[in-house]
This record gives sequence, structure tokens and C-alpha cells, in this order.
Amino acid sequence: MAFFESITLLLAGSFLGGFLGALSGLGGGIIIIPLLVLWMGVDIHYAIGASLIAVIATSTGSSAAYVKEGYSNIRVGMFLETATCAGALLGVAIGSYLPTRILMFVFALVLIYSSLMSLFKKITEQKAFPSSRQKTIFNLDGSYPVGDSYREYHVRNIPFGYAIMVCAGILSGGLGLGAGTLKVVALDQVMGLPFKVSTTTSNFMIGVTAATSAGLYLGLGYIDPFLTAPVVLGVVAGSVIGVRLLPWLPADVLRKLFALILLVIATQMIYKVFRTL
Amino acid sequence: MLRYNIILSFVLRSGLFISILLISMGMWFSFLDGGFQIVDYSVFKGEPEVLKTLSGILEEALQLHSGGLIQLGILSMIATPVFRVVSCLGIFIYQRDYVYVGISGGVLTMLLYSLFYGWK
Repeated sequence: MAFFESITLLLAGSFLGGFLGALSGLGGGIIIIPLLVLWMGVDIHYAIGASLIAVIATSTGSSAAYVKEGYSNIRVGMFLETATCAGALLGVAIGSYLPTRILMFVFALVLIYSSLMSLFKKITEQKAFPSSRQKTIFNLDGSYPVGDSYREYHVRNIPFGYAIMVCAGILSGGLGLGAGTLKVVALDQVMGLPFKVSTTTSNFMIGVTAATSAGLYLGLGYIDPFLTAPVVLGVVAGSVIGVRLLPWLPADVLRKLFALILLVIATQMIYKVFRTL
Repeated sequence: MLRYNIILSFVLRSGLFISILLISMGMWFSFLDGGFQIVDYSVFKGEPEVLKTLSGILEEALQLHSGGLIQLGILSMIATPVFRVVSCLGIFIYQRDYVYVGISGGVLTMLLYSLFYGWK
């Protein structure tokens, strides 16, 4: 492929990935990897390396803003990072061992799962849990700003939430994703944190998890500068603009549209896996 | 707690700024030194030694080679969450919250292990 053609395609595609990732809340990685693998013929190992750096960039950018607002629970984040980072180390070990074709197949399955989740997601009001602060050894309970005052919440189901976080870490390390959707499910549905606290805390954790795998991948030679540079710059620009436009766009329609696109991509990926058998 | 949040936010912002600057510089330089070649990525070969070890990356970046600059930017991107964990560790030490000093220490150990594992 001609040089300028491919660099333009890389920048434009990553911009679109960051943009859609921010609008749908699914993150940039889930669209960047198929873009590189299916449309640019990049081996999935290089794609995973580039995607992870873009994931760190977007997570860092948005958590810098969220942390200031005081929504994210730093104790919960740090506590569960012991799970996601251990999972990430395991995920890299598995992912770097698996051949390209199997990685692509697993990736397609994850794509299908997250698009279906996104399609059928119901926005439910959170049930009223007993939510006063309790004193435990990990001191996870917190409070978050509601209007002018602070509302307290209690963190439940810690072992189950922790186990899901290990899985989120494995997915993140093995496939180069942020695995934000799964993290939010664990925090919000399982551990009973308020939704806004869940999304911001998940975002906060994504950067540390991705850095754990990216460090290993850098040393293993998965991260190519000339592929990663346009991907990172494109994704960052796309997500910055996506976040700004979010309040003015019909987010629910976009999310469903994006989920359908992901389903098509997943089918394409599975087709590619079996065509070359 | 608000004061700590501002420290953390500052760490994250500066890290992101430095890495985006280095990556953009590297990309700009690559047009000048012809380093920017979209080579064949269809088969995974792994990066050359100079672009995957700390000493190699620093050496390349100091000579203002585009690949080295981008890789240094990527390295600072990876280092940003590490500094974030270090800041949290500092805050927990200051608060004498020893359970969380231990937890942050554990997370930091895994991060450093992964960063230095490939660089024996």
C-alpha cells in the first residue's frame, strides 16, 4: 500500500475509532483492532500493542478530568487493580502464546458478546441498597457528590467482583482492550456502586491495567512506533471530539448503531479465520 | 481528599502531555529522516532490539531518531499510570493508611515487573 494512503487511512480510521468509542462508551480498542487486522492486514499482535497504548491515552485523558470532580473511588480502584493487573499479566502470557488465528476468533467472540450487551442494555434505576458506610478492613465505602451534598454508598459482593476483575484483566492483557464494559458491570451490578462512580472508577483502572500489559508487550517487541504513533494520535483526537459532542447527539441510537457495526465486523473476522483454514 | 485529587489529575495530565508531544515530534521527524515506512505488518516479527529496551530507546531518542522519539513517548504513556500509582502510594503513606500502602505497593510491583521483565 502506498505510504501516504496508508498513513491517512491509519489516522482517519483511528480518529473514527476514538470518536465512536467515546460516543458508545465501548472504548477505542474494540474498533481499532478490527480496523488494523481486517482492513489493513496487520497481524493481530501488532494491533494489540498499538491498541493498548491508545487505551492508556484515552483512559488517562478522561480520568484526569473525572478524578478532579471527585466521583472515582480511589480505594476501590486501587484494591481491584491488584486483580486486574494480575489478570493482565496472565492475559499477556496466554495471548502471546496463542497463534494469530485463535486470538482473532476469541476477539470476534468478545466483539459479539459486547455488541449484544450493548444492544439489549436496559437503563435501569439502581435498586436501593443498604448504603450507609460500614467500617471494614479494606475501607472501600465512599461518598460521591450529588448536587451540593455528598451521598454515601456501601460496597457489596467483594469476592465476586474481584473475580470478575481478574477476568477483565485477562481480556485486557490478552486482546489489547480496556475491558471497560466488564469492569462497569462488576462495579455497578455486582458491587453496588453508583453508576457514575462505577464508570469513572473503571476508567481510572483501565490505564493501570493496560500499562501492566503494555510494559510486557513493549519488552517483547509488540509495539511498533510507526504503527502506534498515528493510532494513538488519531484515537486521542477522535475521543476528545467525541466526548465534546456527546451531549448534542442521540447517544442511545448511536450506541445501537455501533453495536450493529461491531456484529458485522465480528462476522467478517470469523469469516477471515475460517477462510484461511 | 479534594487536594489529593488535584495532585493525581496533575500527574495524569502532564504525563499525557509529554507523551503526546514526544509522539508528535517523532512523527514529524520521521517525515524528515525517512524513518516513517509502513512496512509489512502482516506477519509478526517483533521489534528490533533498539526499540524494545530502555537503553536502546533512550539512545535512539537522544540522537533525535524518529523511531526512538516515538518509542520514548510510548514509554512515557506507559509510565503515566505508574506515576499515578506512586502518587497514590505517597498519599496513603502520608495518611498512615498501611493496608492501602500494601495494596498500592502490590500494584506497583506488578507494574514494575512488567516494565522491566523484557529488559533484563
